[in-house]
Amino acid sequence: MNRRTARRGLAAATAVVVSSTLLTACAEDVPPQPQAGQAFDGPVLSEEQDTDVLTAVGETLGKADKKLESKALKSRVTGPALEVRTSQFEIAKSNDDDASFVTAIPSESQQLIIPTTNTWRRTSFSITAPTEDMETPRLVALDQSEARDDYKMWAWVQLIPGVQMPAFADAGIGSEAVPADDESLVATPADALAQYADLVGLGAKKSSFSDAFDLPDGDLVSRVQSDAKNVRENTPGFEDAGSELTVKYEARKDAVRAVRTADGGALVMGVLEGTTKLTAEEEAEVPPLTATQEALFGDQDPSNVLTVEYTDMVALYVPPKDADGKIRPLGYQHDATAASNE
Amino acid sequence: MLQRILGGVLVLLGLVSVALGVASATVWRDSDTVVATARPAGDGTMVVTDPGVLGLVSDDVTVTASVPDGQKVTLVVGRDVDVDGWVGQEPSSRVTGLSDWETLAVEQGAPEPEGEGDEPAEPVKPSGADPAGSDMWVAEASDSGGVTLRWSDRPGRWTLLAAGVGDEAQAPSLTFTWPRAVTTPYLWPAVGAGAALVLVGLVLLVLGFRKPRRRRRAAARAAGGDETTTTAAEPEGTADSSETGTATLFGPVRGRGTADAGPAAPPWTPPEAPGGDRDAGPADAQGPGPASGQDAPEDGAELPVAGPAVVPGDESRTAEVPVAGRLLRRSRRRAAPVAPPAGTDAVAVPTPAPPTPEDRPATGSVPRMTRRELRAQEEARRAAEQGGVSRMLRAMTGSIPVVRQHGAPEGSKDDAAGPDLSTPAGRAAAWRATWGFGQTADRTGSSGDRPGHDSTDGENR
Repeated sequence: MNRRTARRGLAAATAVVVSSTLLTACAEDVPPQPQAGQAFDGPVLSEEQDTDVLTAVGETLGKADKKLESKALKSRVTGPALEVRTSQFEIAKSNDDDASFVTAIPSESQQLIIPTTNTWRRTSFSITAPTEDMETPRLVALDQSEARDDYKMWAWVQLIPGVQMPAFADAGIGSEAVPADDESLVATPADALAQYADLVGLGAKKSSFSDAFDLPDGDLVSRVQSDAKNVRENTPGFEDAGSELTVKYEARKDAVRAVRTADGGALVMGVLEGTTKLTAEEEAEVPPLTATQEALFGDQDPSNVLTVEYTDMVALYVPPKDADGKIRPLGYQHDATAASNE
Repeated sequence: MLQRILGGVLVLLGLVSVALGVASATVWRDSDTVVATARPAGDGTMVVTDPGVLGLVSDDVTVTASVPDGQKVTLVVGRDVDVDGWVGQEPSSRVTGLSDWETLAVEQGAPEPEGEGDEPAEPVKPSGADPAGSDMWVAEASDSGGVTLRWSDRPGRWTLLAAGVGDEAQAPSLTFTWPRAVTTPYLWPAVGAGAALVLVGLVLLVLGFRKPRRRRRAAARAAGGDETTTTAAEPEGTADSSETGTATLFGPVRGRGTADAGPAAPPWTPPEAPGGDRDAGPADAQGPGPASGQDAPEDGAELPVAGPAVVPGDESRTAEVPVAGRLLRRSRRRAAPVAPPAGTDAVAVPTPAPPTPEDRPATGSVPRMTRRELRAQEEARRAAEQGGVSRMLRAMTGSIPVVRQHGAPEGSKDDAAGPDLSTPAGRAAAWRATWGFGQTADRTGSSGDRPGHDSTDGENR
């Protein structure tokens, strides 16, 4: 090895050391590319978020209930719930602000049913705790109709005492929304509601759908029928005046919210529109029969016709097609929302 | 000299390496955070990140959105479908990733029209709507002028939506700050390598500085017992080779050096040979084989001196010497006291005069040998030692005549203690004259010996 090569070698070694140090110090790896991760297929809200929603709804209800001001409801109440609550406010106001006309809805939840729908509309459900008066828990449906909307209470029902609720998927897993025309059930949600409306209007004996239903005591059918019976039998002069009471019930179209239960069935909430028409003789006058009707009737002149309209929110359990089960009513909210002399 | 230069260079390199290593862990250390900015592209009041952007560098991210003073800006984090749904058909900027470590890639455009209905996606005018307060967001922050949101990424396609709020809102510019774990993989390797280089360099330096001193000492001694020295060149050679084992650091290098020495030696020898001792002496201070030969006259310590000494002396003695030399040397290395006076002598007294008196007691300690023998032995040892080092040096640097010439003047300077003597030969002669040794015949012998010595060296090695 002569000097030159040695020197060259030395220089090369130095260069390698220095340059590698510099390079490694300065050169950085390329920025990472974003990894999208797994698409969301779980609940659209966390339990925490859903609880927050219920709290917000509860606060809104609390404020509005205090003032009996339906405007204050609008930020968190919509659909039939808004309709019914507005009616309740009116009735309460004309009855010396009697809060008993307004259904209490606890914001505390004992079970959250959160959808997995990634598009809109999204509907979540909640089974509330029992009320302070130890009334049965409420089943509440909350809608988010568009992405920029908040969840709003769309409907609520009071659960029928002693009713057995179907099991739902855990809130952390989420429950699939069921379209109104879902075929996997013994009846589509829309059909189930229509059949139930028929049953409510005609009563279990006359309706052709009574076989499809497993009617518990104290459900809407018995309530409406017993009310009608009560009017017919106990209204003074009902028979003398040759009066007639007709009860008609229909399911409101497009007012269907359904969610899958754990057994593949569905919880269906919907609205039944009921009309009772009491018709007496031409000369007779039929005044409003209850404080509620009175309030709704307002200062109209009584005629021989009294028509009361009901907006009834109902909840049904519809079993899956292959389960051979019967549709069971779970709860209802029966409220008169209008009364007229026509 | 070369040794010192090389030592210096190595030390320097070592220091540089250490410095680089330290710098790689300090000055050049990657920042603990990655800070990237996104400037909105095109129309719209909203900036949306693609899924995965939030957790791009690390799971924890701090996003700062800024808009002109007085405007409101909102930052929210939500599921990608929710954010896309919220943005809807409004024009927006999409952050698609990092284009480099400081810039986020931003594309313009509304999300792919979701298959809702057949209506063509009509361009919607920016609304300046405020996403704050939606039930869907899992994190949100809102303020005027600018706002900061911290987010710890979790599984799923979480995306950020930044929106300027108001009628004349502008899309905010975003700054993402991610913490980053920074490693300093080059710190310890570089420092270690540097330290090793420095050590090697220092050793070389020390040896380089010690050599002249030794030479000086040797010169003094040589002046004392020049002709009489008895050691042979060969024994030292062998000693040398055996030593390579003991000398750990230079072991391998020496091996190489020796290999070179063989071929390298011949070219040098011729010029020296004719010149005789005088020329040769000054000429090479470093060359291993030749050096020793030339040094002989000058420094008196080198092999050649021993060589010539052998000639006149008994051959039987020469045979013995190697062993003694070896032993001596080793013992000397281990502990100074074992070494005969010569060792202590050398360290303590560099000047020529004192050694002689002190040498005498030393001879006493080693009864078998005469003072001369001892001296010669010692010289031979040194020569060999030096030869080894210089050989190594040569191997590393390649020895050059120029350096040799340098060595010579130095040597002469060192030896120039005597005012009147400019050449080693002259000095030696003067010394001899002073001490009553008139003969110069050995030298011629030594010069004649040199080639032989070289060759033996070559063989040995």
